Amino acid sequence: MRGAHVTFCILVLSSYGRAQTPVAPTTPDPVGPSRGDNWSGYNIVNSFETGDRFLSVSGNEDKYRSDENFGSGVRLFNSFFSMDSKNGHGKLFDQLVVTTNGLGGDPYQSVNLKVDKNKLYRYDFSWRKNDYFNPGLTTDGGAGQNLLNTTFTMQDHNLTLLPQSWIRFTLGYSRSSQSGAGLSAVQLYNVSGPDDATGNAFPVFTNVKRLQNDFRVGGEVHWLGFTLNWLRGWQNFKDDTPLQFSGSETGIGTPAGSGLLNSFQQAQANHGTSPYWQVGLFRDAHWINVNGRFTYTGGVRAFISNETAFGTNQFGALANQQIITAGDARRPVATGNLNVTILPTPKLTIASRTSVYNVRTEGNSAYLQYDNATQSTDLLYFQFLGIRTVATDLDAHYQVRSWLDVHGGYGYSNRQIGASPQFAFAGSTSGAPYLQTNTENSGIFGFRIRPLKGLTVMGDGEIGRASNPFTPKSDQNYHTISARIQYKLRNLQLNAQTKTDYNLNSVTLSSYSSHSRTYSGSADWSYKSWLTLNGTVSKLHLDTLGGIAFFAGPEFLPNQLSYYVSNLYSGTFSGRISMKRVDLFVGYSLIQDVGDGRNSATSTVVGPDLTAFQTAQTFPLKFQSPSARVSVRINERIRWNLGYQYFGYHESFFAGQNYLAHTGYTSLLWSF
Amino acid sequence: MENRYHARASQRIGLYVVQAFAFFSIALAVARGADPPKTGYVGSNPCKTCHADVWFKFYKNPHFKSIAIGKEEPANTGCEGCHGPAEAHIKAHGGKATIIAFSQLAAKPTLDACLRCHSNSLNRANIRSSQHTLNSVSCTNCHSIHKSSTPKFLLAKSQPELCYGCHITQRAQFSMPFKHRVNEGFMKCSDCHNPHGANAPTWRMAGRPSMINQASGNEEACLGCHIDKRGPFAFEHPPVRVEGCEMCHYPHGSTNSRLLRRPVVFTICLECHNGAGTFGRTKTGIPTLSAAHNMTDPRYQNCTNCHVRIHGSNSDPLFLR
Repeated sequence: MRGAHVTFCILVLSSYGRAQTPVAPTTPDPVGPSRGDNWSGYNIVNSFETGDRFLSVSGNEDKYRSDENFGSGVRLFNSFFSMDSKNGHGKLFDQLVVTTNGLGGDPYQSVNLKVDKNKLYRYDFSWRKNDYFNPGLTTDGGAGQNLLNTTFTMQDHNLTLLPQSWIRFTLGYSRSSQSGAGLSAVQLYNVSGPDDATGNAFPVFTNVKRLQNDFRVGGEVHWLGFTLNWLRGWQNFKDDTPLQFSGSETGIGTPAGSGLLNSFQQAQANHGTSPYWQVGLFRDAHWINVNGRFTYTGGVRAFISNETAFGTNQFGALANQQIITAGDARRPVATGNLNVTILPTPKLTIASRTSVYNVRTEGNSAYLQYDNATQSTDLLYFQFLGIRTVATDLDAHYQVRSWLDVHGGYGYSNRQIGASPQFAFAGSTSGAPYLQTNTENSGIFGFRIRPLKGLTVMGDGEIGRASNPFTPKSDQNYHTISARIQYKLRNLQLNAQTKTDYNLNSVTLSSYSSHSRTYSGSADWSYKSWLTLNGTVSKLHLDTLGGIAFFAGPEFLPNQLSYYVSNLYSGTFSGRISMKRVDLFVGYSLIQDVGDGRNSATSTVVGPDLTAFQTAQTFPLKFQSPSARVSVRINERIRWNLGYQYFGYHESFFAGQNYLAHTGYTSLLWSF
Repeated sequence: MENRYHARASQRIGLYVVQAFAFFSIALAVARGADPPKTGYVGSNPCKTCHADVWFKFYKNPHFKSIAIGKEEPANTGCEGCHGPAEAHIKAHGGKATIIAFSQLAAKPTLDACLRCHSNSLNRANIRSSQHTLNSVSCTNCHSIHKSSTPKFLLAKSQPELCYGCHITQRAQFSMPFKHRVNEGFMKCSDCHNPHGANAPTWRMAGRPSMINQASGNEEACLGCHIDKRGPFAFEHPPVRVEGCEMCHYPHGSTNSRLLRRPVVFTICLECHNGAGTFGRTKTGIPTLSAAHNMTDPRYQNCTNCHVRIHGSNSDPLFLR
């Protein structure tokens, strides 16, 4: 029996270590007695991995923080604790499981808790924290000004009462927050209101403060084979992020750099609630499955902001400016779904899905601008955006032979959009309402063959036509073709797949086409449970051709082309050897975009003869990360681990973002 | 006028769903689930003799609950609850032909067996028509009932390794320089996807569901975490609501630090803002840039430098504040 447990542990081990990043924590390497310890009717299993992480970065550390963000210091890398009632009749609970990850300073931290008592309750809790750093990177020194150095924190509580009963109740609470420092920008000294392009943009500091609370209550009733599910929720949101600046800052605008900002303050409050509810009624029987759902989500945000700025405007005059905006926005969303699956024979499945959804976005914003040149602007805006979509599709899957399945289907979608842009409701001239309808028809087909035991070959395709796409990049005349081969034989698994996705969206003045092709392969192999090897390779190709129009200096260039090419190769490899006391892991990950094959930023390419566009049409880079780890079993309850991981990022056309990072850790994994 | 039209449409949606459901309810009222055999049950105790390794740790298995209750019908509890009556199996001294062995079952009977108990959850209401089921991916492809390596949901492997086993391209996407932190353990695939099937999305053209969870019942999964992007805003950037976040972003990973579909900002904006065709909410083409935007100047190549509220604004139709 003990041998069986060792085998089980090794099986668990063999499934780990292939996601590549990060090299720490070491778990789920087992430590402690495999059977756990017994105490007062419970079986207890626990383990902790604690140690020190180190980091050395050369190059652009901000970019490293944006990509990986692992730092230095002592961490509780990972922990696991479980208590299981051995007879299923624990006093307060039958099972309690706690897991943690990255506590003590890692950028990605989490705690999960699960407690349940048979027939009485089940409680799930999760807490996550993410240190998010984004320097607003742009290419070629474009001075990205929207920097964020914030922390996301999220927690979820879900309590189910009477989880195995014919009627059960659920209570839930979620809390999400984002806080921290940031750098943003504000447009000032506009002459005639917010849509006037004469102003200058200035960088300003911000202190991000966002919070959302979500309360849920619901239940489920099973009766006569049907299940009725209902959920009522309330989301309360508030954003009280202020902006401020004091000093002397030159603006971005026209004429370039002529404005000056000496002081700026903006206080704002954006608060609101989004009540929602959902009702579902469904039944699964032997030959038919049917479910219907109706949801409604409201949404109201009330906002007000007050900002003052002092400085010199773009015309050289001293300027102080005050802007007050206030109003509210509303967006109710209603949906209905009806899904029916019929299995008239064991070989035939017919699935039908119909959905309707309706969205209305409306609101008003009063914008008042005062300045010291006696100008006063008072604008009232109202904007409406409504979307109504009806979609249905019907698929049939048929098993022709035991080794051959075929399927086909048809889909239809109809979407109506109504818009009243900048409709002024306070006595001003109304904006014209616009209505448009897009109809999309699509068909799918495919087959699945199993010519040999363990071997499956699949092919799928879809073709679709849309009558009135919303943007030049939306689906209009598209088709996809994909194929996959999968082979499984005991400890060996091989996969290969390819997919093409083409879309052509052509209009009179401009055309857009997108060609995406992906090719992937993977192999997993384990030998006698102590050697595991895994490798994957992928090529992701994308080329898009779109019509663009822009100003180059004073000249308007209306019929230009933007041709973007990406040829991205990816490879991962990992190997793991488990010996008597020592466990060794090595891994390697590579991402390389060779772009359109150019080795210099500027060249003769399809599109405008401007350096900025030529640089942006392809983006060759290389991102690689080798890693290695050794784990040594000191005794039954302690393992010692040592790991190293390297991150190398290199852009071919702009060296300012390149970095090299050496990370590693040493830790003890122990149980007590 | 549009307000009234859309308000009525909301009411009609509910009416259609109720009417259609009433029709199917009649058919379902006479439909019955797959009944298990009535005889041949011997209880779980004899199983311990040969399958001690399974029984030894079975008290940690969520399915142990049915045994602990002690009042369930034989067909709904213990080993026989899933594997069927064991009398013939014991008489034959084992063998996979004399009992329900899931390693020998095809996808559909496997699903039927699990749904006998697990069909009563809204999260699994669409499992029969999910892409996984229609492609013969059944419960035991992802769940390992007796050799699970995860503390919840009896998964055969932990996420994302489980999903990467088939979704190879997604592994490459999550290896990009900038990505959602799935490999780091901060997120899971199931934070955004429902592997048991989902309802049609409320963005793009709806159509076939791609197994994406919906935040707040009917909104894009991204908005569950990116709370500041949700709005509503007095001035919404229409493609965000009409086409969804994927219009501009790769959700898994990208070479751009904002997960944009292009390495730089301005090309992605210009590809739509070209004034061509009948695109956009006014059907007159999506507006081009004003003369103030000299694209030879790097300061104008980072559109979001100034258009800081690009997802939606309460103060400015041009998303400047």
